[in-house]
Amino acid sequence: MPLSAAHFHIQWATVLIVGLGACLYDPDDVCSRNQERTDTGLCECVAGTVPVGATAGCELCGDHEVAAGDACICADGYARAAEGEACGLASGGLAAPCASGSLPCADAAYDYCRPVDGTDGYCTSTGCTGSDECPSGYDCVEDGATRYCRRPPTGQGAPCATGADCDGYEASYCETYQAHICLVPDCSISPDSCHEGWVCCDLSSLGLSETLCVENGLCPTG
Amino acid sequence: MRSILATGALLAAITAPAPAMGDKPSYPTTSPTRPILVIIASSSTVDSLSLDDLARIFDGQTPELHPLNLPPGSRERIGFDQLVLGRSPDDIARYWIDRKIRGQGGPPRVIPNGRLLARIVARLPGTIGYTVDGPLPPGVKVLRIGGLSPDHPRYPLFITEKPR
Amino acid sequence: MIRLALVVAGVFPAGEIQAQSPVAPAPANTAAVAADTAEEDAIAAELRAIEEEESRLHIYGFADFTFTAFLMDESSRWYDTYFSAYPTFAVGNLNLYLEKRIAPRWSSLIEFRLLYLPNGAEEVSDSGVVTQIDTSVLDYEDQTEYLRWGGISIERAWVEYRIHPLATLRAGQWLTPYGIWNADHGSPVLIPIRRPFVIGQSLFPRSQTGLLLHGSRAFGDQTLSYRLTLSNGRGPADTYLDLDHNKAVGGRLALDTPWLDQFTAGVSLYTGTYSARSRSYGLRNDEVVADDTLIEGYRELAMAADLRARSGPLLIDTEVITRQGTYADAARPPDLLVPTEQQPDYFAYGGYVLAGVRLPWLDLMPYVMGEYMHPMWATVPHIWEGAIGINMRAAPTVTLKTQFQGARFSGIRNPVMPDEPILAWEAQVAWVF
Repeated sequence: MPLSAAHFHIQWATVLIVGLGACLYDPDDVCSRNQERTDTGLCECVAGTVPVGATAGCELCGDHEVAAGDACICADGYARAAEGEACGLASGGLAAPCASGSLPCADAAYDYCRPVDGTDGYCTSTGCTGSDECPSGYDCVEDGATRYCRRPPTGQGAPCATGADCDGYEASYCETYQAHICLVPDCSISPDSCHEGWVCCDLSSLGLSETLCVENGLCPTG
Repeated sequence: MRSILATGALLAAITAPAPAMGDKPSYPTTSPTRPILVIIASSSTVDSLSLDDLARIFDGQTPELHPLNLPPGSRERIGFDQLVLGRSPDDIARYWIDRKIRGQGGPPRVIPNGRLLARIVARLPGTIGYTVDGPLPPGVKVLRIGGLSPDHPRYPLFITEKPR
Repeated sequence: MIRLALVVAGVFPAGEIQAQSPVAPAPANTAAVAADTAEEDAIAAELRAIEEEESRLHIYGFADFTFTAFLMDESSRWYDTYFSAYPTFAVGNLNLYLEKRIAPRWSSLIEFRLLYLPNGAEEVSDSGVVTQIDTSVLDYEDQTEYLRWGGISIERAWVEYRIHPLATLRAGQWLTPYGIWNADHGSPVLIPIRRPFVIGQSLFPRSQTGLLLHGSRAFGDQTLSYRLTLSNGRGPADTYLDLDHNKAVGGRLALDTPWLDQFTAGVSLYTGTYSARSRSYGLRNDEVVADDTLIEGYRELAMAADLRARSGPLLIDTEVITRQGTYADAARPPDLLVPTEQQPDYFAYGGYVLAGVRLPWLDLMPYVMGEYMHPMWATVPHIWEGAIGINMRAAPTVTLKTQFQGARFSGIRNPVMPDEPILAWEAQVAWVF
């Protein structure tokens, strides 16, 4: 093969290789479905979606569900009859709004009105011995002589950018350092007052005056 | 002033190009030159090689012919390496060490002297070597280099005899 | 007369070679040579030596010993996260080669590196506690002394067959044929002490397992060479396990010319998929079933161009490398430094330029190197690095080096990597044995 032909082939090989450079990476589509680019350049779930495992992208929450951290939970006034079931209107049933003395719980299975704000509260069941006896997402706790199924804090794990995004939630603290989610503040370390799967954490070593409920395993040591 | 001149001479020596292949020394000399004969088995179909081909063979880039070298430090070897490969003895040593680390194979076999080398070439078709020692044994032939035979005035491979 | 039948493995591609007997006594001026018994003995000895040499297993290798001192202030956060604040001696590479021409046209090369690792390697728990692996065990040989065992890393293991002057097929594990640095490979050959980030980040895989076809063709004083590769690509255990149906392909074209004194330019390419899977077993309908889940997967395309130019004592090496990767939607990994978020698709690129001058005094080569890289980490967009040093070939088998280097990561957007420069001084002796 004459030298000029060798140069010709190298030239076209180079053009081909450079041309191939445009084929794979699309700067306008660098995240998975239901994800968006963060300020740090990473990918996170868009509002209303939750991660599917650690690597499998994000999926939309279903009807009457809201994203809370890694899970879709029922919106206020809705509940699942069993784990895996869709959220249905909790009319008179689990999580239905109630008020001691003035708006009793109508459903015999969930006849305990647990107060959260004065006399206003939500309907739930009592007499559990373990969280596996409670509806999905609820944990079994004791308050004096009463053992009842406690609903998860509203807004816990919901994405936020500022504190205002967490207003109105029981998880009223917006963690803006790393996770950017709403967390329950001013919890009790002993006994631990956080919901099952979360732990009350003293973050004074990080300069925070509040205690916060964080997911198990994420409380900084030392 | 002397230091400036010395530095200038040194820089000139550093950056001076290698002697042009094929040029007999241009400085006046009374020292005769002897051609370096590139030899191969008589049965080989190769009769002539370019200097580039010869360089590729002795650089280990042409597996069809197996080169045989003379000992490092011998005048013939130094001359051959300089004229064909453009390398000093240290450069040659480094070249082969670097090739081995890259996984590209080791240097040519070294034969103790040109006379023995010629006899080896005669016995082992597929080898190629060089010598200034004559006469050559039966079974070898001398290659033309760049189309030039060793008695041609522009034959490129030679060493300068030591003045007596 | 001595009649020799000689087969020299790998040397003579025409196959079996028979040494030719001397011809019958000729005219008097050559008869003396033919009749010299001592000379015949020398010839026979040399032929035997050649045969033994060609069939011998060649064992050689290289090693290096380095002193490293980081020069940042002792309050630097780099000491908290990545580097030791204490100047340290270390034997780094200790590599052995086993090379042999195993048959005519067949040759083999195996290289492995002996390691002190995993002893001393750091592990970080989910709660941030750092521990060091300790491999100390009681030596059963004398029951009183503890020794720390290390490991072996197989760098390459291949066999190749020369099909044709223009085509040799290599099978096994081989270094990816791209650029300058990966081909030079060993510390005695490499000019600086530390590899550039663009090399260390493995935009091209450092090695692959599969098939490599290579050859070269001369055109006058220029040589065109090619490499074509087919391999398992990258994966968690790519040296012996491919976890998807896609094989990686690649190639290289290089032109070697005597322009200046040497001018070699090359382009390289690699494309493939990476797949990491997890498997779990369960019982369904009284049968054991396996659930195979892709946990990380991406497609990548890497391209590179390189140039080595030498003119007299001046040497310039430069490489530019790019790598694009797109993750499968359902197999996008969490970011290492911000694990609550996932890594985006990436377009990483970078390059370095190394320039040195080989002086005639003590074979010294002062050199400088500069590098820029835009890595695949979304939270670290820019890396700048520079180095200045001296390389000395004390002997062909011994290389001494010393260098100052600095690196800067800019635009950092994660809480782990410090936004501070890295400064270090190192000295190394690398040798071939």
